[in-house]
Amino acid sequence: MAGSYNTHSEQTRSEMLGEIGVESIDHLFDDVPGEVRLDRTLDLPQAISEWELESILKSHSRCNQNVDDFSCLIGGGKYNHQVPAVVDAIVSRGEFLTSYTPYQPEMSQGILQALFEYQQLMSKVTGLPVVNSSSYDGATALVDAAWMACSIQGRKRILVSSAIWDEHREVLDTYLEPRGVKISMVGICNRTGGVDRNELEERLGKEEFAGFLFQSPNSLGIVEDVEKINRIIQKSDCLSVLSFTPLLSGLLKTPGEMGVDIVVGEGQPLGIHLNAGGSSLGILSTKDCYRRFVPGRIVGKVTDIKGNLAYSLVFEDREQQVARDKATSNICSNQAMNAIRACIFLGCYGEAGFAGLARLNYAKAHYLRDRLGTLKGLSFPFSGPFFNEFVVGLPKSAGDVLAYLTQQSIFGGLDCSQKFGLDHAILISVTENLSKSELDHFVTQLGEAIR
Amino acid sequence: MKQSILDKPHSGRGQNSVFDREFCVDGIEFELPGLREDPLGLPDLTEVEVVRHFTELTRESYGVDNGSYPLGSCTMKYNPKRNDKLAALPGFQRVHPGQPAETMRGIWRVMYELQLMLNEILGMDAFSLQPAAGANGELAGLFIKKYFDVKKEKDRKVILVADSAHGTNPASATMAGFDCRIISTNESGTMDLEDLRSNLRPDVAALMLTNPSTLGLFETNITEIAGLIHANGSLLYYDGANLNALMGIVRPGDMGFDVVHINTHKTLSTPHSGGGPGAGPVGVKKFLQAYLPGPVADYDGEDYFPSVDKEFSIGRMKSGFGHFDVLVKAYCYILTNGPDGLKECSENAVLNANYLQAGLRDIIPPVFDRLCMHECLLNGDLLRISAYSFAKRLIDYKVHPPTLVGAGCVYFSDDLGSAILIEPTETETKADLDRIVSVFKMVWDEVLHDAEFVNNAPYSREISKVPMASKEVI
Ligand SMILES: Cc1ncc(COP(=O)(O)O)c(C=O)c1O
Repeated sequence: MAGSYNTHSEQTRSEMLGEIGVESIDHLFDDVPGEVRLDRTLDLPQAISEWELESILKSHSRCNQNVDDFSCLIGGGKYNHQVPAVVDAIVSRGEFLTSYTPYQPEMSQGILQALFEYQQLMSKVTGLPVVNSSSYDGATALVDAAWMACSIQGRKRILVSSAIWDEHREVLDTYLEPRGVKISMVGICNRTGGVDRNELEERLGKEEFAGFLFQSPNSLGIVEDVEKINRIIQKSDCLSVLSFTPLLSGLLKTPGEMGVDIVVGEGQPLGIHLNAGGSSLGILSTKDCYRRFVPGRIVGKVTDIKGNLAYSLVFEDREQQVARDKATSNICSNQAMNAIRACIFLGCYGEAGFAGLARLNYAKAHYLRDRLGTLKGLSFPFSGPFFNEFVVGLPKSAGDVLAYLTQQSIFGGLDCSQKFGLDHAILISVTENLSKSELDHFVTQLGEAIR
Repeated sequence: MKQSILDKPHSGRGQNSVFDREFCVDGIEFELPGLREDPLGLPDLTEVEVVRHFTELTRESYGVDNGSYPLGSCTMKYNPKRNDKLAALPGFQRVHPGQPAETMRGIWRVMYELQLMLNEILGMDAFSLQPAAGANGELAGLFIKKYFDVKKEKDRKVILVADSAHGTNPASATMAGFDCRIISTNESGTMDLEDLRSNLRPDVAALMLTNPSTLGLFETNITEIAGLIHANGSLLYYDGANLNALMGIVRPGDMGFDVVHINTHKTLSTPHSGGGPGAGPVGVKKFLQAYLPGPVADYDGEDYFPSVDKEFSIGRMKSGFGHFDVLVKAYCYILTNGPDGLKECSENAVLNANYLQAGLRDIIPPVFDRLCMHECLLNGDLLRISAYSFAKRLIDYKVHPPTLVGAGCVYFSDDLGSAILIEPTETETKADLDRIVSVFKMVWDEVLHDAEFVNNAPYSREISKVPMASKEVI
C-alpha cells in the first residue's frame, strides 16, 4: 500500500472488483484511449513518512525570516496585527474546517450562522446593510465593486484614485481590460497626499463615469476626507466606491454613514495570518438597492417545513450555479473560513476593544512619527492626516537603508521612491504588535542607516 | 436557530481589552476627518462567551471529519492533519509578502517545487499558483485571450462549453469578455461531436472541457476533440475539478489540453473550509508560458525568486502570490503520497465510485449504463419520492447528501432533474461504502412503508427540512 491515506488492501480491492464485475483495476480505465495513457510512473519524489515530511517542511520554513523574529514595519495592505488565539482555535475545528460550501442547510446551521454573523458584524463596520460572504481579497473585491458600478450604471468607464495600492491597480487592469472597461486616473494633491479634489471635480464635470474608486488610508497612508470627496461625487451621476481598512471604523464614522455606495476592503487585519500574502479576505458591502448586483454567496433566513426560521444560502439566482453566463460573477469557492475568522475577531474585541485597537495603532504610529521628527535628514512629504502608516523621505537610497535595517532584524518598510514625485522614500506601518522599545530601537537604527 | 451573537446580553464589561502600559491613549487628540461619536453596535462579550458561542456553532456543522461526504464533483476526501500543522509553521504563517526576497527563499522554493510537481502530474510545461480558486484559475486561463490579441486574431470571441459544464465555466467566459456557445451531450453521456463540429467556427477561442465530465464519465473521444479544436486554431481548456480520477493514469497535457486549472481543495486534499479558501493553480503548454499571471516562482540554480514576463503576462489575478497557506498543504500531500500513492488514490477513487454504483443499482440505476470514473451519476426516477427529499433522510443516518439539482455545485439539464451524483472519494473504506449502500437501502425501504415520513425528514438536526428554492424571509 503506497502513501498514507489509501485505505484498501489488495485483498479488499479484488473483492470490490468482483462486486463490480471487472477483472482488474486497469479495466476500470478502459474508457481512456491507450494512446494517451501514461505508460510510466510519474516522475515525483517517493512517498515519505510524517516525520520526514515534517523535517523537510521545517527546513524550508527556516529559510524564511518571519515577523516573530524581526520587527515588522511593513504594511502596504497586509499588517502584522495580533491574531487572537481564540480565532485559531475555533477555525481549526474539523466540523468547520472540513465542511464544504453549506449547500445542505439542515446539516450546516452552525457554519451558516457564523457566516451570517460575519455579514452582520461586517455591516456594522462598513455602515451598509448588504455584505457578501466573501470575495477573494481586497484587490478582487475592488474589481467586483468596479464591475458592479459598471453594471448598475450601464457604463463601462471608471475613474480611479492614483493613490490605491499598485497591486490593486494591476489587478483592476487584468480583469477590466478584457471586459472593455476604460480606466482613467485622478492624481493626488502634492501637499496633503490625498486625492486631488479639484481635479476630481473637473473630471466628473466633463465626463460620465460609472464610479469613482478611491482608497483610505490611501497608498501614502493618508486618511482621505471621505465626506468631502463624496460631496463632490454626489454632484455627478457616479457611484462612490471606497476601498478601506476595516480598522478605521474603530475611530471614524463608517463609510456608509459618510455616503459611500460600495465599500470594499482587505480583511486580513481581522484575525487572518500574513501567510506570505494569502489567503486573506475580500470584504464587499453595499446598499440594499444594489443587492442584485452583488457577486458571491449571501447567507439569509428562510423557513423550514415547520415554519421555523433557518439559515440558508439565499438569492442564488445572481450566482454562476443558477445564472451561468448571466451571473454577477464567476466566483464559487470563496474565503468562507477567513470571513469566519473576521467574525470571531470582531466578536472577541467587541465594541470597546475594536475602538481601543484602532486608538492604540494610531497612538503608536504617531509616537513613532514624532520620534522620527527629531532625526536630522528625514522629511515628511505629506501633511494629510494618517492612521497607522506614513511616508518618510530619506536622504539616501531607500534600498540601502532597508538593507541595513534588515541586517538589524528590522523589516523597515516598503520602498516607495520615485512615486508621486518622491525621491528616496519609504512607507512605514505600525501596529499594536510593536512595543515602545522596538519603536525606539527602530528610531536609533534608522538614524544609523542614514548617517 | 441559535441565539445570534448580536442578541447575547452584553457582559456589561464594556471594557477595552486592548492596552499597552507604555502607551496611554486617553486624552489623545485624534486628528482625523470624520471621527465617530456613536457606537458601531459590535457585541460586548467575555472571551469565554465568544468561545462557547462558536463552539456551539461548530456542533451544528458537518465535515469530512464527522463522516461520509459523498458530494459529487466536490472530492470530499480526508484532509490530512499534518498538512494543517505544517502550514502553520511560523516560517510560513508569519511571513509578510512585502519582505525582501532574500528573507523568503523558502516560500519561493516550496512554490517552485510545487509548480514542477504539478507540471509532471498534469503533463504541462509551466504553472502559476496565483489563482484563488478553481473559478479564478478558469478566468486566468481565459484571460490568455491576450494570446489571440498578440496573434492579431481578435475575432475569436466565443468560448464553447458543454451543456453539462459547471456554472463557473460559462460565467468565467463572460467575465473574461467572451460569448458562450453550448455543446450538447449525446445519449452515451459524452460530448456530441456533430454539435461540436457545427459550432466550431473561426470565432472560437477555446473549448472548455471537464474530463472526466461532471457526469462522471471519461470523454472517450478526447483525442478527436483535441484534433478538431487545434485544427481550428482554437485552444483546449481543461477544467481540472475532476482530476482525482486520473493522477498517474492519464495527463491532461498528453490528451492535448493547452491550458488547465486544478482545484487543490478537491484533488490535493486541502480543506474546503466551509467554502474556502482553496487554490486554483493554472498551467499551460510552453507556447503560452509567457502569458501566465505573475509573479511565478523561479530558480536560477542557486536561488529561488519571483519572476514575471513583463511583456506578455496577463497580469496579476490577486494581491500577493497565491494562497500560500493552502498551497503548502497541497505540496505536503504530494510529497506524502509519492507517485505510486497518487496513482493509487485515483484508482481507489474510481474503484469506490464503481463499487457504490454497483451496490445501488437495484434501487437507483446509473443514468448511463457503463463504468464510471471517480463519481457515479444515478437516476432517481424510480425513487417514488423526489431525489431531494430522499437525500434529506440520509442526513439522519449521518451521510451527507450527494449532489442534486438545486443542492450542490454542478449543473444538471432538465432531463436530468432527478439525477444524483455520488463521489465517495478514495479515503472511504469498504466498510464506509457498505454502510452508505445500506443507508440508501434503508431509506428506500422507509419510503415503501411511509413515504410521508421520509418526505418530512430530517429529524435529527436543529432545524427541519428546508424546501427547495425557499424564499428568503426579510
Ligand atoms: C467541475 C467544476 N469546475 C469548476 C469548479 C469551480 O471551482 P472553485 O469552487 O474552486 O472556484 C467546480 C467546483 O465547484 C467544479 O466542480
